[in-house]
Amino acid sequence: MPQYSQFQPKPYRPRMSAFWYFDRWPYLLFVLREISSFFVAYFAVLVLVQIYALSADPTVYAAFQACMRNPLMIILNAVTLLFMLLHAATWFNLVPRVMAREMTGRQLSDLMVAAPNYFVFFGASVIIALFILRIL
Amino acid sequence: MPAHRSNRPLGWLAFGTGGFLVAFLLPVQVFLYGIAVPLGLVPDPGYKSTLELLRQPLTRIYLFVVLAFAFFHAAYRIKDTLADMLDMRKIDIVLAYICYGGAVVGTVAALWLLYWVP
Amino acid sequence: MAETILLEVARFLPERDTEPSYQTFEVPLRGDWMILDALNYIKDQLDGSLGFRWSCRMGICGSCGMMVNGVPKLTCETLLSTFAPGPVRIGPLEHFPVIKDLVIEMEGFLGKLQKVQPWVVRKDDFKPQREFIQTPAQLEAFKQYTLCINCMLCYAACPVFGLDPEFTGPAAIALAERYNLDSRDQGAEGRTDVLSQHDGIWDCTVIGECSQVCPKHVDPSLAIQQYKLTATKEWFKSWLLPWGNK
Ligand code: FES
Repeated sequence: MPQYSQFQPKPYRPRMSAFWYFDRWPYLLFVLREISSFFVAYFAVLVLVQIYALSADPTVYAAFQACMRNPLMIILNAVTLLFMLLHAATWFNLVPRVMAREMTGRQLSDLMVAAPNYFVFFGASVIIALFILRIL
Repeated sequence: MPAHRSNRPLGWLAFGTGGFLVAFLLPVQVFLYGIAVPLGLVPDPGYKSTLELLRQPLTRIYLFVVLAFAFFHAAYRIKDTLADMLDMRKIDIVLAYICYGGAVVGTVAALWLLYWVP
Repeated sequence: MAETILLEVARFLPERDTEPSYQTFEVPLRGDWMILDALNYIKDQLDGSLGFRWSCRMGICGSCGMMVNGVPKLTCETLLSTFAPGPVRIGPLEHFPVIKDLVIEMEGFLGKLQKVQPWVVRKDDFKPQREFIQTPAQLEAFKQYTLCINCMLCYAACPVFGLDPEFTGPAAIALAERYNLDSRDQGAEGRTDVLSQHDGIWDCTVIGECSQVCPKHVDPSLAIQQYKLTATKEWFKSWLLPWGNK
């Protein structure tokens, strides 16, 4: 910054509003994407609880499952799913673009780098579902 | 601090790896255990069968890797979210200790629980 | 006068005001006018004391950037009629200190620009006897980033810069990458210290608006994330090969 002399007026320094992310839609979307991390942490803890319940004995696991049937828990988990899908979609569209140059030495079109992720996502989801439902 | 000694790259790499794992692997788990099974949309595999799945060494390694990276992914992003939303960049170091501390606790807990599965 | 449109223009006189306020002007709504034409109309016909920067009127000098209805734009290539029936709110670029009306202080940005050494750096005594041969692929690697016109719209779109004025910022990092990726340049190491620090790339939380508002379709957000990857590789190299150059 330049030095201002005594008789030279000082510039106005704006301050950012505390709720700047409501100013424009892209900022709100960004903040929602970031908030997904809270739900990721919540769900990781929930899985820990589930592992604990499974390791304990059938009655504890039954209590865990009864708790999961609580409408409030189902709503919470539905919200968690939405946030995770938001995370997944934004991640698939952005991150592979960053890596594409390293891996291929040049910049590929956005669709070319994003599309394979969705295939992997659906493939992995189906396989994991088969395991969880004990079909495999 | 010289740039190559700053440990941001380590946190960022864990964040990135975790971001992929979470995006690819967790949504289906949330859907099935959190929504579909409790609502009865799919048949519940039941206690015995689920425990059997958890007993497999591969399942436990899988869960440990996914959970550990999920915790470190979340830690990195929660720290940034607080810094951006609540303008807390000034206490960045404190936030880092709290968030990464939480991630370490979660990872150790996962290791402990998965090791002691009967 | 035919159709008109209302322009709410930020006014700030440092000798008199403590903060900017908006003054409304009525200007003709002409189909071929850009926002900048309307501002020039105000200056010529209504109030000669209005202060704003412009020069080329063709989107290349980068001096006419302002907030138009809250979005950073080059006013010389933003059609007035798209905002009909109005009113349109014109403000100085966000997050920068305001000197007068729509004129912002750009010293901070220029300082950051200088720090990343946006020029070809050579370690050797470079006295080529003929042209430096560069393949199309080598040119392609950095060409996108040469299009930056330093208009600072990306800074005005960046909340991180608003929260942390010390953030090196989109344009400066993209320009650092422009030279890092240039096959003639050997200065990447010298830029690392500025880029890899806390106020450099690691301050960015990937909001991505910098790339959206860029009038030249430069992608600073991508440059920053790609440099994070580069910095991470360097970091691992420095641990695995500690005897290498430090
Ligand atoms: S006046 Fe030169 S870019 Fe608008």
